[in-house]
Amino acid sequence: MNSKQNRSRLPWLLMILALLTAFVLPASAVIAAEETAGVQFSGVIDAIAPEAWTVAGETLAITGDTVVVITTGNAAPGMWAEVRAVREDDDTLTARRINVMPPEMRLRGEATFIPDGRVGEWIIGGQPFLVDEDTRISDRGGPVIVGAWLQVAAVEEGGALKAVRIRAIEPLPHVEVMGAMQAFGDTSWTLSSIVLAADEDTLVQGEPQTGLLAMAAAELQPDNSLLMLRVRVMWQDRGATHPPVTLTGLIQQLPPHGLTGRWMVDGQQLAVSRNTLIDQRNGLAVVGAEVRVDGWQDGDVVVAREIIVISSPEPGLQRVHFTGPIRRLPDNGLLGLWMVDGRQVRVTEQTRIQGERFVRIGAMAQVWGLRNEEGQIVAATIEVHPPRPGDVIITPAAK
Amino acid sequence: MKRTVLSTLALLGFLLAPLAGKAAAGNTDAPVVCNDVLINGGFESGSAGWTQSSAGGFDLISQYNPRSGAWGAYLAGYDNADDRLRQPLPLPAGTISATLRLWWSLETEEPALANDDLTVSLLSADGTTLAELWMVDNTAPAGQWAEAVIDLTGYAGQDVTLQLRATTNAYDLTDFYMDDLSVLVCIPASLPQRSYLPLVVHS
Repeated sequence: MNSKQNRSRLPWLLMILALLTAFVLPASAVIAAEETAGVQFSGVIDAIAPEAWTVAGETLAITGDTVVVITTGNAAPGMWAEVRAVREDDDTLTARRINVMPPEMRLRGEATFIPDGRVGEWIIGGQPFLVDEDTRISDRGGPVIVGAWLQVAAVEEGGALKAVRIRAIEPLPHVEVMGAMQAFGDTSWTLSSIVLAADEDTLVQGEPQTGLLAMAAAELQPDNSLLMLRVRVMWQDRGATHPPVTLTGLIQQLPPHGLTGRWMVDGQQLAVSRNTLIDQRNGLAVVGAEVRVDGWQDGDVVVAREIIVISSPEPGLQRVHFTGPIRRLPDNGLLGLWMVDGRQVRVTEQTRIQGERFVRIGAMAQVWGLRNEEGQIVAATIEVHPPRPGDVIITPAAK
Repeated sequence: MKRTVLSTLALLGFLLAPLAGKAAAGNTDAPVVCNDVLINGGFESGSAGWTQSSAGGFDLISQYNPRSGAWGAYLAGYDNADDRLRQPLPLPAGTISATLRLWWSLETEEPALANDDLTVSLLSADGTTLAELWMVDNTAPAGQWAEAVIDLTGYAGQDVTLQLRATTNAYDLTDFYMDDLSVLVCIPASLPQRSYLPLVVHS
């Protein structure tokens, strides 16, 4: 290539550079700016005015570039909104996008009471829901009966929760609630009128604030109250003290016993508590397994709220799920062979036991496990139910 | 120098051609008629216009979770689902633009992996898939309606059928909901009109 050819190509290069500068780089710069100053949250709409909305107590400037999407219904105070905004230099928020949604809370839990004819007060996940002729009920996921796990979408009406939709779902190891924060404290939160007890072990992701939406997982207690295991406040601020973290990687190290303690995933140290959800439906959480971690940064450590096994060297041949009474327990401790619903179940260091304090002969237990190549059921999660009226409980001492 | 200027102009022309084409189409003096050619896109007339099949034997047009009105499409929501809704689409040759708009929502119990999905595709006359236009899976945000806008202009003049299909794996339920679909087809007013009422007339 001679110098003349080089000179003839120079304008081309300059042209391409100019176009890149004009179109591509500013877009990247905007994205970068939004990433550093971006705020995303979901909450209750307090007020709507042409130039500003208030959502969960936060004032949002509305500009000509703000996109408002009415996903269903109308935009009005009391509806919920998912907000994407930019924090300006003066600390105010300018809305980029607002998705308006109906104020439907959701709860997933076991149905323990359904009135005859289905109209009236149902108890789902220990909580009362009003069901009337307008409530839409789907049996597509299974029969909607007492003992089934249900998902209910409901709205607050006159101090009660009126069920809009109910459908059967597959059982979960804990009750799940998504709703608007009406109160919060060290010992109790209220989400869309559902009261959840909190204790020092409750994992709280995000700064609680009245009016924000939150998603909680809770353990049902014998008196039908809910003890919150973990909660995620639906507020993400890239400038926050404990920014949210999602990472995917291989487990390099696990605690010496059980799954609670320090993990190492792709060089990142994780703090895993007994309230961390460890989803082992796709395989057991062992060294070499690929996992997705959701949590938040706390110094050098990521506090794990949820860990989902994506693939594992111990994937199992078949998923197993069943419920029944515990008929046999190991002689020493909980590790070893259990007999549940007439089936032998191996409980290992990887097994998460929910409701450990209710473990005894005769207690009802739900087992999620994997059948291995030897045909043995290895338990991934066991949820032991609190005793209910009429349960025949034989204490180990009386065995 | 002259060659350099020409080269620069050619590059600019190449980069800006799509914009110029759009501008020309928008500024045409010929009258244009636009119709929603989809029958019963809001499902308020039950199954009118739609052919449905469900591996689970369910009625896919349901009152369970419509976005508006009393009826909507409810696909999957059970294990090993393969649910389909179909409708032939008239996309005449000479179509200036054809746009499918639809609202969708999902609920899922699936963990992180994408195992269940909803696809929108066009089938050719022999029933084979002509094009997969749009897809969403269980990892998308749940519990909220969102709109999808799909350009069908490239399929004008072909005998096509719109297919909405949801499939799920053997574990963990995912519901897919759709509602308020429309296919807005704009043709020159000089073309023979079908019997649809015009929604919008541009001149």
